[in-house]
Amino acid sequence: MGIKTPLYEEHVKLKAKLVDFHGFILPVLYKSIKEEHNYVRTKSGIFDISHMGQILVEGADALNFIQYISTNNAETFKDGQAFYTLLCKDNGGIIDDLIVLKYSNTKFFLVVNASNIKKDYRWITEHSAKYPSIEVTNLSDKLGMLAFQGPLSAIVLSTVLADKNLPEHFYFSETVFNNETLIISRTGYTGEDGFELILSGETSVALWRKIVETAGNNTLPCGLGARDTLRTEASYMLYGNDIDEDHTPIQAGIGWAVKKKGNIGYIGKDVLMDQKYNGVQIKLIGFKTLKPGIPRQGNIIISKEGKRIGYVTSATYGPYLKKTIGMAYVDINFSKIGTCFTVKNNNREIEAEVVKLPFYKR
Amino acid sequence: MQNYLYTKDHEWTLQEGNRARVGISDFAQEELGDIAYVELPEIGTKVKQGDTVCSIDSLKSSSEIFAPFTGTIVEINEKLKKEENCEIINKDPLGEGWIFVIEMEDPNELDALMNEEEYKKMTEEE
Repeated sequence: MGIKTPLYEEHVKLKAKLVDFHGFILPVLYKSIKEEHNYVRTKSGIFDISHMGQILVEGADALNFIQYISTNNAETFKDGQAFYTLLCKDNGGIIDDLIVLKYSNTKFFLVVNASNIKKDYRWITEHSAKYPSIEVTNLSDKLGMLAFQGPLSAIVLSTVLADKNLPEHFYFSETVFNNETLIISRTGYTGEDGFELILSGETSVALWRKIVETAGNNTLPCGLGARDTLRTEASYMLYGNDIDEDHTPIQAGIGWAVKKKGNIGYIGKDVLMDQKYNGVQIKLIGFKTLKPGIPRQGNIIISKEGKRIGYVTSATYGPYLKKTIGMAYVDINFSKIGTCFTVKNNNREIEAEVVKLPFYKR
Repeated sequence: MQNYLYTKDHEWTLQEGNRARVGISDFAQEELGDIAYVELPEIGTKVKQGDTVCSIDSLKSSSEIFAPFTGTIVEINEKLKKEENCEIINKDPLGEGWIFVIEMEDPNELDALMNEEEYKKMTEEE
């Protein structure tokens, strides 16, 4: 039996369909993935993302340490900015992808995937041994987290908090809610404007209720189903599907988060720089289907000549785009936009065509 | 009250003389969630009891529809050819959301099916 999040009772009251997700009991949907998805695209939606992990890295040497363990260039971001980055192994394989909130050169707040909390914490602590000033704290069990996403989220949230000064896109700020610190990060996993709200589990329930009450018909509680279809339309990576320890960020097409950083060395740099400038053999591409049927994760991809050229990492019918889309690792020779191939799904063969990513941009 | 009969694979059937209308149960549509596509069989296709007739894709998963009887597909729900109409299976699985009609070769095959009560019992045990 999984861990009940602080919002468990709310989900039960709302008759959510609950599933075990990496050890957490979470709603996959309340009523309909399609409806929840389109609410986020056109109005707003609220998600329980208490399963996400939070790791605090502090110390005089924090900037240097973050530079050493992650691929993006932490130096180029201002205090108060949030940025996407990756933890990689020496061979470039991805340990995790994460959002980092930069408080200052001595304090970084990491938001990591639920499935990787323990692994990340161990990885970060082990590497911090060489940095005596660094203190690493795993706050994942103490903190709750909500995502409030969609075009109407900003106006609703400023009403809820009686605060017009919400952070800009990819910035964060702290405020007080119910006598407690609330971190407001203007980031998300849906492709819409929106916020990720970090606070204690207990108070997250009060904030959830207040947002739902204030938004009225302008919001819907959304489950993991809509979270997945929304992020797929926006072509955001899902760890375990599109990225993992066997693939590098360059292969995954997120090389924009891998920086040269001058002379600064970091884990995986040699391999990643080589791949970035000399190219890769396989690549994550986007495709749309040309025939009915939805491919699924793990489906094999066959070229027109009948050769096995790759496999599907994520795919869904896009409820807003109204077409079936997916991502796949394929041989570099079949990665050009417009290339057609066949996806083997059970006994079916679904024709598909390589298209540009992202599928959806607001 | 119309007499719906069910298969263990969650199809329902409704006898109309020597023909039977076929769809998926309310339990099945609930389990599948939002239906995105139905790949319909062609009229005239001959099937044996238990054969895969067509497939249904929901946002969450794909599943196959099996023939409850041996016979010939004589009618299909043309509405389902349009993706945006597929949600009628979610809204009205036992009515407007029917999928195809089979002309039965052997009406005795009906005996193997469950009535509503037996089917309900089965799904409660699942």
